[in-house]
Amino acid sequence: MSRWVEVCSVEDVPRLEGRRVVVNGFYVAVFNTEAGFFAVCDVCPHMGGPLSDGDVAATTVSCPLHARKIELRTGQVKNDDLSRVLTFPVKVESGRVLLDAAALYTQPAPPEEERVAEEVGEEEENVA
Amino acid sequence: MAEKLKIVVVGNGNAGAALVDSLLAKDSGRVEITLYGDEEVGTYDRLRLSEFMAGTVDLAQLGMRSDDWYEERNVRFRRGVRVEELDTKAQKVRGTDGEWVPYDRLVFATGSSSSVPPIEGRDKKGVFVFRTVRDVEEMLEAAPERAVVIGGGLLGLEAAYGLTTHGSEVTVLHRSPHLMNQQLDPAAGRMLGREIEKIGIRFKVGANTEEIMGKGRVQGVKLKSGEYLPADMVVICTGIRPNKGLAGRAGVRANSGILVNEHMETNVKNVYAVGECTEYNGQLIGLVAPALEQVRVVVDTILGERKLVYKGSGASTTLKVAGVDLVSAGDAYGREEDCEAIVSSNPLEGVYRKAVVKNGKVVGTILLGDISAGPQMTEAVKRRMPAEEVAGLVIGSVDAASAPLELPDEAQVCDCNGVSKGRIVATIQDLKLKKVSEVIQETKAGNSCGSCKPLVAQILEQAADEVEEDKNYVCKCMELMADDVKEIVRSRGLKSVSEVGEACGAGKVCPDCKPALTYIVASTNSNRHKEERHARTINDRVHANIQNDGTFSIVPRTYGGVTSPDQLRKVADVAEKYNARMVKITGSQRLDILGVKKEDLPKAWADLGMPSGFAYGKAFRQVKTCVGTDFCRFGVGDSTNLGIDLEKAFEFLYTPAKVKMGCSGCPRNCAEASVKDIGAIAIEGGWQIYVGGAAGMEVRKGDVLATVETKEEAYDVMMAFMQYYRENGQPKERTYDFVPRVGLEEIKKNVLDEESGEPERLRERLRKAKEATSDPWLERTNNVTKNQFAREVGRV
Ligand code: SRM
Ligand SMILES: Cc1cc2nc3c(=O)[nH]c(=O)nc-3n(C[C@H](O)[C@H](O)[C@H](O)COP(=O)(O)OP(=O)(O)OC[C@H]3O[C@@H](n4cnc5c(N)ncnc54)[C@H](O)[C@@H]3O)c2cc1C
Ligand code: SF4
Ligand code: FES
Repeated sequence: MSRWVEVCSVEDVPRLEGRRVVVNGFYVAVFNTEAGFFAVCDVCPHMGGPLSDGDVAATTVSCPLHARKIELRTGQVKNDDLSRVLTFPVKVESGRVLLDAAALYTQPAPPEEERVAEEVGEEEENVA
Repeated sequence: MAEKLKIVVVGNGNAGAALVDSLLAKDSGRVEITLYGDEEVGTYDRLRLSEFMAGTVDLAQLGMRSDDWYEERNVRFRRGVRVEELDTKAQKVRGTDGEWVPYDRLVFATGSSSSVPPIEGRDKKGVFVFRTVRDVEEMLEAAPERAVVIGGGLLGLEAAYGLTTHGSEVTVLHRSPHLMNQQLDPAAGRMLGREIEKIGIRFKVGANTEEIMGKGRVQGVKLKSGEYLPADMVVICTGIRPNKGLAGRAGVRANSGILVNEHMETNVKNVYAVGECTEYNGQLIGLVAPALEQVRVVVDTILGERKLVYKGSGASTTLKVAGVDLVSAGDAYGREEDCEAIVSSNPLEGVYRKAVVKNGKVVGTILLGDISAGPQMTEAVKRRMPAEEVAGLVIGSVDAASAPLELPDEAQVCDCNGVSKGRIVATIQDLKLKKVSEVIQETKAGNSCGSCKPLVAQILEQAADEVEEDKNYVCKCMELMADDVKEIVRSRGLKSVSEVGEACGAGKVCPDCKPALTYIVASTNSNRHKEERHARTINDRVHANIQNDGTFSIVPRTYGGVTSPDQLRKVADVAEKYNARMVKITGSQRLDILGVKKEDLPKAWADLGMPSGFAYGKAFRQVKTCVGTDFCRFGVGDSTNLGIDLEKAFEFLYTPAKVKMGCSGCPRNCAEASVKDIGAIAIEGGWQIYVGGAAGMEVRKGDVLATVETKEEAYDVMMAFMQYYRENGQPKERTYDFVPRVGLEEIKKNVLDEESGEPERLRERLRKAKEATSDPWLERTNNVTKNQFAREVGRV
């Protein structure tokens, strides 16, 4: 069963960037790519990095912490053996971005501020 | 649907993991696999444990597989569960989780444990073995000042090396008269000893340990000779002992190891064994190659035609200690009768090459110091090639590079991953591969211990129509070098990364190269480019450094490291107001407010009222200075003010990789200027300018670019060099690589010859680029993208 919710407007997410929205307490990253809008869980399966702050090209986002690359259509991690990232169907209707958040309402909302991993990263692919 | 064949694998080491892979590859639809592994961390490549210890790879790179990986492939992985009981009649096993699991086939892959000889005091705190991730983690945590490693074999030396890289003082004690006596003859062993000493590891041969001393905790080691070595850690690396206890209790026959036949069958029906827990024909194994051969055999026995047989395998070894090149294979001593040796030895250069020959055939080899002939020699041993074919290589009259190997297709090239030459050739031809890196990626040959990489390169050379070097592309997807992109940008007058993408595809497929493209577009246009924020990393989108928990750090600019009570007060207030996780004085003489939320950055910057210190970008960072002539009784040059002037000249400029500077007021060099990218040191009557220094991942003393008389000249030379590097450095290339690559003479020609006018033109271009920059922290009121600093853009 789907549950479409309106999360933001098309202009809220600049071209080829991501922004975070919060749905039922869960962090979701919304991306504006040349192939359309995509939404995935905003917690990197590696160590919890915020994917919405990642780097985008085509339908890929690269995590800002240690550069794990996630295919936005499937949620698959392309450069590591990690579990896939949850993806959400998205549609754009008259300038509004909607996503099917059914999966996020089947479980209780997480407590605030507990979604990011505590461990320290150890790779430096993206270092300043 | 037919019942699936239930296979239980006990042990999740290299052999167990490879077994699961091969079973899945052979017929994943027909089998149901349960895998037990009693190590909490899961699956990893034990061979690379020494690299893990030295810190060159992390746990993820060690080959850890997530539980999901197994789940996706329908393997029931019981991580952290030890099998305790086996009922071979009822065909079921019970692990520490209490559950009985039935099997149709059971394979022991329990490996071995470190064997600890009965040395007095071996149970004291601070005594370790070197076998598992856990062992390594515990050793590193103990961070010993002085360690003694008992055992000077392969493992002992790798342990010693690992500890040395963490700053411990290590002594290796070895009972035999020379190191690695299993693999090396006395001459090579002695030479190895010298090489080992060069990297800072001490050793004693003929050393018998009598007792490990200390009250509860290790304090030292006493030798039979009476000698006493103080130490706060002892690592015992004296050998291994197959894990056969469980098998023995269940009535599976074992001697030193679990006894297997050539099909890897034990004496009990439907029970098999592979890897270091086995004993075949009186032989134990201690390396991964034979273990993997056994895995191939057992898969054929269980799922295939029971045609493959294991015949025992000759050992070849490479030492994975940085700076020491060593290969040993087969009978390196020539112990058997009628063995002769071809030897070439040059102790002055630490080079030793030997082929052991029996009845005209090569049966063993040692290469030390020069392992270029490694692939040819190990192959010669494996195939017992006629000695004439390799004699030239050993003596040194034939160059290894010009003596390609003629291998049969079935010859195994990568022992770690079991890849044959035939498969490599077929893959190269099918996929039209041109580069070594592609071959490694596609075939996995060379992916583990790496010792066969030279051979892979040779095979590529022979099999491919065209070979390409692995190039340092700026855009890997489009195979473009930085110079190619620069040329495209310049010749077509491109102004943005998107235009570059339209022109040549770079940055369209994956985001990796976009920051470098941004640098090229910006610098080629003297910063009059069209800024696109999607082509910068998060750090440069919000002008702060992202941290492990997704918050950011703020390093305001304090020119030359000079601050004031007013600034300090503001920093303190900001840290408090925005709940910073920490305020720290950085390694570069600056103040760092760490752990600020993205949405608070603009407010914090406004409160501070200081410009950005650019601590987050591939950009000019800061000038570290000392108090110089204004205060110091030794100061001969005004280093503080030179530093402040330079910082003002360079602030807000992006560079190919970060640029750090230092100015010291006298040769005491308190600002460490000689290990900065650009540095100035005042001397009596002038200044010395250093370039290409580093004290990070690399430590390199800078080269003296020039000695000049005045502060103004110093400033000018540094300006010219900075722009020369900005124009000619490759993306991500620090000056410690740039200066040696281009050559000091070439650099001098371009930045010092004032007559030619070129240095002034460089400075002019730098000033022009600088004019088009501004403090990015002003974006606090002038957002460049929508919701630039927003925490979230919607909430439902
Ligand atoms: C804060 C600081 C450590 C400290 O607590 O003092 C620091 C922190 C980081 N350093 Fe550093 N470095 C800091 C001084 C240094 C120094 C010492 C110095 O500058 O005098 C060095 C050695 C000198 C050098 O750069 O050669 C140093 C060598 C590195 C390197 C290795 C660079 C290399 O090529 O050798 C990296 C990794 C890289 O750049 O690829 C790095 C990368 C990093 C990053 C940016 C990693 C990252 O991308 O997250 C760290 C950010 C931590 C954070 O959460 O904000 N940091 N780092 C120092 C900030 C200095 C400043 O005020 O700007
Ligand atoms: C530091 C180091 C460096 C090395 N370098 C090299 C090298 O360069 N080249 C090379 O060829 N070889 C090298 N080796 C040797 C190589 O790692 C081994 O030959 C290989 O790992 C053996 O594989 P295995 O699966 O038989 O045993 P192991 O890797 O020991 O795996 C056995 C696993 O089974 C588990 N286990 C045991 N009993 C049970 C039970 N009852 N229930 C559940 N789980 C159990 C053990 O905890 C272990 O995880 C090195 C070894 C070490 C320690
Ligand atoms: S040394 Fe630098 S990069 Fe490494 S953890 Fe410390 S701050 Fe981070
Ligand atoms: S947290 Fe995303 S790559 Fe490490």
